[in-house]
Amino acid sequence: MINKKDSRRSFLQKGLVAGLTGGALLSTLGQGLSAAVDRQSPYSNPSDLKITDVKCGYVRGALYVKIYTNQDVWGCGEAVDAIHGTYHLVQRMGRQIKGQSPLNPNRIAEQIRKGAFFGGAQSGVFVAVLTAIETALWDITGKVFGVPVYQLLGGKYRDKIRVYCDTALYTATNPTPKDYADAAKDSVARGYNAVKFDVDDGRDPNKYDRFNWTASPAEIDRMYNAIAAVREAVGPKIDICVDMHGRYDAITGLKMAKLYEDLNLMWLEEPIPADNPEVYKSITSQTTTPICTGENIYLAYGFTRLLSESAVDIIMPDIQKAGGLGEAQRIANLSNLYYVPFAPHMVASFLGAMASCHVCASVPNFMIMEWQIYMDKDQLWKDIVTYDGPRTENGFITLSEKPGIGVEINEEGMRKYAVPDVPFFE
Amino acid sequence: MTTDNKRRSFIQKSLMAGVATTALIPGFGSELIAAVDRGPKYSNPSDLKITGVKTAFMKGHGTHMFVKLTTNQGITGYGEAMDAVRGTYGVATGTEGWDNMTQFLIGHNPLEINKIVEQILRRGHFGGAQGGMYVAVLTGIEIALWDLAGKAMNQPVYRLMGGKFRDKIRLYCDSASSSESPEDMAAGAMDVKNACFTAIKFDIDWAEDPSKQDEFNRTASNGEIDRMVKQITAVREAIGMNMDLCLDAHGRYDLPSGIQIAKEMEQFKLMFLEEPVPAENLDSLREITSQTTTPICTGENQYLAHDFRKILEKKAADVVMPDLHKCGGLGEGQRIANLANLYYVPVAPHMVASPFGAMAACHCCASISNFLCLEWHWFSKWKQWDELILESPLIKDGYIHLTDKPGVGVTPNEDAIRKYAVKDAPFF
Repeated sequence: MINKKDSRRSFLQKGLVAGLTGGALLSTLGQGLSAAVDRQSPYSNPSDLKITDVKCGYVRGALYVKIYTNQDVWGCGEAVDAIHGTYHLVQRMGRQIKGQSPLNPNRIAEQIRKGAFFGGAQSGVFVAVLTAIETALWDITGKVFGVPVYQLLGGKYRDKIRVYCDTALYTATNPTPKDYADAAKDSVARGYNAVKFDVDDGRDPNKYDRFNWTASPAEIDRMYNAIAAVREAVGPKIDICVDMHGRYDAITGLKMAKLYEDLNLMWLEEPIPADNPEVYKSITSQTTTPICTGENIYLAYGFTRLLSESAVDIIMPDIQKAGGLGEAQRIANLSNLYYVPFAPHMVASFLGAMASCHVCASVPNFMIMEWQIYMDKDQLWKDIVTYDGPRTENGFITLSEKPGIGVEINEEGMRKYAVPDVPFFE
Repeated sequence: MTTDNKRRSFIQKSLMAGVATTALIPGFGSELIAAVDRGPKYSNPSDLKITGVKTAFMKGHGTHMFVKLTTNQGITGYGEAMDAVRGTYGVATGTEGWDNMTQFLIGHNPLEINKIVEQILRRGHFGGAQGGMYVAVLTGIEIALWDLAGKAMNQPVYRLMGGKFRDKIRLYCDSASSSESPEDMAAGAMDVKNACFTAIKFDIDWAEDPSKQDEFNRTASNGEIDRMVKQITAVREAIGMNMDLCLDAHGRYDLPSGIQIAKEMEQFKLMFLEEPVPAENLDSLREITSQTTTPICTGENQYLAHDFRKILEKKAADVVMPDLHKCGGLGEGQRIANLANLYYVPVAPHMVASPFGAMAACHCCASISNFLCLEWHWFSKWKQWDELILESPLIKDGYIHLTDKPGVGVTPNEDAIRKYAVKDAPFF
């Protein structure tokens, strides 16, 4: 542990005070300055801050990263879904950044990505893991300077982040329209004013087979009736989103989008897989149902074509996969140039949720963010992070004003859920 | 004011909310409690409010507009806007009864930089907020907001823009020569090289060229093109191949001339040729770009990321050069650069501002990965330039070095600016 008081003064001498003693006063700072000199950067000594270690743990489909420094301050980050089997990749990235100052998140992320130009840095798993590291760097930077992350992203547009509740009804076997309606009413009763349902169902007995991408007439009926029951149950003022998980072909995707038009959806998500923007454009241009995609698209590069071709109405990057908080902000800024709203996919812990909230607060075109009903119900989500206070209230998350992200990994709480046989924060 | 009390109240409201009720914020080791009494701020950010907006207009390289924002906590933010601000005295600070930006700014917390800018843009939707003067004036305010935010939080502006990719910003020096003779231009180029600059720019449009057909016709005659080739041959011979060389045609030629000039200049291996045709028609610019190996650059007369989106989607230019004192500000400049980066296009900002504006631009240039170089246009008036801030000199061996000082990190010298003030215009 360094002697903070001394090093703080030495930082000051190097930076701020140089101007004072050398010549004129920093005349614009007013009378607060001299008093302020003794109260510098309380959490650490930024000019000597260095990354010393990167450790990680895995719980279900999520990667949790902690980046440690030489000054008793650390940062937490999270990545989801595209992270299985990446323990050694995290260690490798960790070795790459050890000894560096953590205070330039964009620069470090770019360095790591450039270093893997031939190693998969264009999308997918590499980018997802990088996302966790990048997020932890923002957390450290905010903590070191005593500001919430949103302030490092140019300030906030809003204090509360609207979320929609994914009802996770896909865990039920062959749910009926009534099951859908009940799940919707349950979410609304919990204060949410927007809900999402998955309508793709691999167990539907009417499917032609497991590989064919065309929905049978009975399957189409089922998909329509389920959501019609939801609209009937919640009335016209609740937003409804539908997710097809990219499991259908172009004709089915278009057919569903047209059928759903009279239900006035907030959006239809991934009616077809993520890879072909031209087909998205074809569906989007033929229906009034807003079409949304993005959780399987990486980096701002992945969104350029979708946007410049007007292939989608709404984008939903996953801020725990797409390249990090900085990259997510860049994606939102890009979509803003096409008047396309930003509605991030989110299946992370409350750490990832709050990290995403800082980005959502920092862009004008934020629409709504995902939330999962099981995050309210299951103990796991409470145990694995440290956060006091309500997580969602009346369909909103209140942005944290604490330095950094404002939510911490709870290693002890997390340990019992850790993926077996993978080192856990060692 | 009683800084101490306010700081405590800020801390109680935000930081300590969690701490007081339960455990420590577990992300900081043992020093947190001690740290609470040493808030990191020069001011109390959550209660910071803009109380005054003042502008000053100066003749320098064209017209400079300085902005000064005052607050309820004794800290002041400066901004600067360029070129498209002549006669805009009322746009920022306004006249009674007319809409102006000040009415909106008073009482706002300056830390919400991007939000404030977006709100002012939306207010001006029918008042010219798509480009031009409204955006340029807003740019001056935007920079002042960054300066204020940095000072309030005791951080250099680049820190609030995601950190820095580099510690020093490479400049290209606009030509020193006032003569059109090839020999004088070569000598001028050597002066710049000897001052340690690694890149130089010359204007090749010459309104007085005797070979010109007339004042309005945009076609370059053979005599004019010959003059350009002789000039640049002499310059290239003098400086050698390893110093970067840029040329500016100021948008004064037509399409066939633009193509011809670009192709004639291929032999000189330019860093870029700037605005061979005017700024409005990007299809014509694209035509030139697609027909030559000379990198084509445009941007100083384009505003906001939307204009650059069109350039980039069309692949109309190889290099973009937003003017960070016109295009919407440092945040918009960063968004433009991030967009250009998606097309593998480098950013070389146009810059004719005072050393205050130059330093502000450097924070943006440090915060983007695809920065190429930043213009500097005051070689023949270097002393006057240095006078304009309190902390000169800024340039060392062709670079501007970033510092850790809060905000932009340098302060406009109001007394020096006053010497060059525009007559009958407001002065703070």
